[in-house]
Order: sequence, then structure tokens, then C-alpha cells
Amino acid sequence: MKSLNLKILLIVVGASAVLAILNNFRVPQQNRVSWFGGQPVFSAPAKDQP
Amino acid sequence: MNRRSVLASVWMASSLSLMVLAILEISFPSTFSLAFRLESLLPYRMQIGIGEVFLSALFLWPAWRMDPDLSGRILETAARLGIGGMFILASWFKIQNPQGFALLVAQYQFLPQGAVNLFALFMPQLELWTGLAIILTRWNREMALLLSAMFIAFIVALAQAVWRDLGITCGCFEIEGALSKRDAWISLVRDLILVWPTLWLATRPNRSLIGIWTKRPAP
Repeated sequence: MKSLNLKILLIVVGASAVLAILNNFRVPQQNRVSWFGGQPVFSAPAKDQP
Repeated sequence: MNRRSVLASVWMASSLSLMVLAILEISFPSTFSLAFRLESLLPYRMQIGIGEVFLSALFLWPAWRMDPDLSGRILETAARLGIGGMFILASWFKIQNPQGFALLVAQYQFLPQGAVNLFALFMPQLELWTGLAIILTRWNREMALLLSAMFIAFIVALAQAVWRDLGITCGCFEIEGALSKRDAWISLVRDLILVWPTLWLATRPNRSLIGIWTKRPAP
């Protein structure tokens, strides 16, 4: 752990966060999500469904 | 290249081919699996894929005995390309459709509702850039640790879904299926297999893919 380059880890995680925000503006309107929302949860399938 | 190295290469090529076949059979049984086609004879369709994983691991042993240095280099190259490529592939559809991916994430019932959309935006980007970085940069150990952490998170999420009998689909490689509710345990088995080579990669020194073949190992 001591020899790990934490700066690189932070850069990748930080860049991913920034690009995630930008991506939500880039994609078509119907594919966008609200920033702090959730999604509906469907009911579980019946046991005998393949 | 001496005779032992050639033989080690043959064993490694056999082992890696079997591993690729096994992962494809487990991940896409309706397309690749022989067992799936013969389902009346082999109702447990993952058994061939899992058998191939064990056979693949078994083939590593003679290769390692014959030429450990060459075997390590081949395995490191293949693992970085394979696992990195898989994460890039897996991220692509999620980046194009955050709403569809968020819907799949919600079915896990693992995150607080308010965090589902943020996670669905962030995780695919992390998959893409970590996958690219483990292939294109020299930061092998850092990226392998990030990928391992993601695998462990997926394993925990999938295991709780299987445990709670949510009957959800993985959402690893396609958006479709949130309503079809296919088996999450197929993805769980695949992740349980793939986390090991990823953890092994984290023990390898930092060097580029080319550096694996040009730099001599430390004495």
C-alpha cells in the first residue's frame, strides 16, 4: 500500500466524477437522469418464470 | 526461445483460450454454451464453463514450471488486455444511456434511492477510464486495485440480490432485461472467477504493456 500512487487513483476517480456530470448533459434528453433521484423498483418475477 | 519456453507458451495459449471460452459460456450461455444447447442432457448449464475454468487453471501449472518468467509475462499481458477490454465494453452502453442503467441499478435495492442516479452516472465512467488506463498506462497496480474493488462491490451487490431472491438481471453488458429478470447468479459466478486474476495483477510491478516485454524482471 505504501508504494501505491494515490495521486493517480484520485485523478482517475476525480476525472470519472467530472466526466459523469458532463455525460449527463451530453446524452439525449430521454436518457438523462435527475441528479439526486432514484428509479422505480419492479416486483420480483414469479418462481416458475424461466 | 528454447524448447521449454515454446512448450510453456503452448500451455499458456491453451489455458487462456479455455478461460476466454469459459467466461463467454458463463456470460452468454444462449450464444456460446454447448451445455445450453444440450440442456435436456445437461440441465445445469454453467457446469461446462466452470469445468473449463478449472482446466484452464490446471494448464497454468506446467507452463509455470517450464518458464515462470515467460508465463508471468503472457498472463499479465492477457489479463490486462482481457479485463481492461471487458470493463471498456461493459461501460459503453451505460454511458450512452444513464437512465436505462439507473433503472437496472435500482432493481438491486442495494443503494439509497437518492444515490441510484448518481451511481449510474459515475460507475460507467470509472469502469471506462480504469479499463483504458490498465491497458494504456504503466499504473498497473493502482488500476488493478480499483478494478478489484469494483469486482468486490459487484460481488456483494449480486450476492445480496441472489440471497434476497430478487430475480434481477446483472445489467453488466446490456440495458435490456430489467423486466425480464434473468439470473443474477450467472454474473456472480463470473465475477467470483475474474476477481482473482485482477487481484493477482495488483501484485505485479507498475510497467506499460510494452514494458512487460522489454524490461527485465528485478533480480
